Amino acid sequence: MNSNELIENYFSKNISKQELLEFNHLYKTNPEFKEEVDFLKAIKSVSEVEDDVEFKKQLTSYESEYAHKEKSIISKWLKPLTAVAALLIIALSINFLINSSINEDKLFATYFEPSKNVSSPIVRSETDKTALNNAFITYNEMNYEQAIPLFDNAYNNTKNSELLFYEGNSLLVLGKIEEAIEIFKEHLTYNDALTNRTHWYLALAYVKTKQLEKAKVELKALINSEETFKKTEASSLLEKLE
Amino acid sequence: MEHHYVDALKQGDEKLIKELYGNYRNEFLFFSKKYNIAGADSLDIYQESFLAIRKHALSGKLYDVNSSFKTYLFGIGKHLIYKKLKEYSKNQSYELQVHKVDFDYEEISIDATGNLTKEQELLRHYFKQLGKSCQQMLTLSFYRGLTNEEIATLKGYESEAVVRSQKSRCLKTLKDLIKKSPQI
Repeated sequence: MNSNELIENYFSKNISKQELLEFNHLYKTNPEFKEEVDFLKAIKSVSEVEDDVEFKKQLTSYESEYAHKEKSIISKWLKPLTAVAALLIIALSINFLINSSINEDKLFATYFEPSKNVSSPIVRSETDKTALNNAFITYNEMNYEQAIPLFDNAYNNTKNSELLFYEGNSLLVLGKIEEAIEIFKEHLTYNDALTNRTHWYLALAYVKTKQLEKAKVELKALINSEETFKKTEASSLLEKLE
Repeated sequence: MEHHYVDALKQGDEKLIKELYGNYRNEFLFFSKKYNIAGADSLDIYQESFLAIRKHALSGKLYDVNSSFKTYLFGIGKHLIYKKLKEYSKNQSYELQVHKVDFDYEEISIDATGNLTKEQELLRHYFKQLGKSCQQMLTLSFYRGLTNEEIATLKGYESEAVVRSQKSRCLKTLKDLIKKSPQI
């Protein structure tokens, strides 16, 4: 059994006696193995604390409902709300009848435009020829083909996760959808100022490749986030997909 | 205990959790009032009890418990109420025995959660910089101890292999974040 499997079985408590002996032996004799296991144990403690915090937040969010004594409010608004809901259902079903077939390419073309550079002001000077600056200049000039390797390099050197966002956008423009999807997924492993925006572009990439269920998941993630960027568009696109 | 309640806590079924929370909230606040617990503390204790019962559900040990969800929840609550009363009594002379509450629940002790070490606090800082889906993936794998197959089923990933690669991607990102930082 390889060490990764041993580790997985250890953390999921699915480890046999024999495997546990092997695990303990490796832990004592192999420093690299020990380091990895200790790191994962630390993640275990940290994620437990974070998980509790999240759950507490969830419970506290229920409290706001009790605090507002919303019963009276609900009954007051119930009638008009029901009317609005009924109208919405009618409107949506008409919409559904009209748009019952989805043309993915057309949707993509309607909604997609590459993002502007919102990260880094460009300095055009003889002295500032940093790779990053060049990447953004090329991107602004819409030389996407050239911009891709520049962003890729700059990202590898600086690990500035926002650069993945622009690399993904460039790939989308050029129709390299599968590659764009991979880059966006990598960007989503980070939490930076542009992470939520990536849900939008990843959703479009999924639309283009006819993976509509996945597109919906991304759109919902954007709509439920605090990000205001493309929120209206996301809602209207989601409606069309549903 | 009612298995579907334990499942709801384990799987994070928000609808049912919210319902459970609402079902016993007022009764619990009334219950702790009998022990002269202040209003704000009561609510805090109720939430802490919920947090603790969820922890027990996650660990899997609730399936074998004979008492009902409510009895268990109130049992934990009682334990926390006693703890709070001891806190009160440090500030002023306070007799526990004063409360002769006869209708009652059996007290259920819970372990206090350990604090994080300095290194772990630092790791937590980077952990929070991960995207939500990565945080969730690592929580499910390491804290909750789910296998890759279980995560795939729970979160609708296509296969165990997708979970595996996503997990290693998340771990790599976390390690990169740590490496990139000047502090370590």
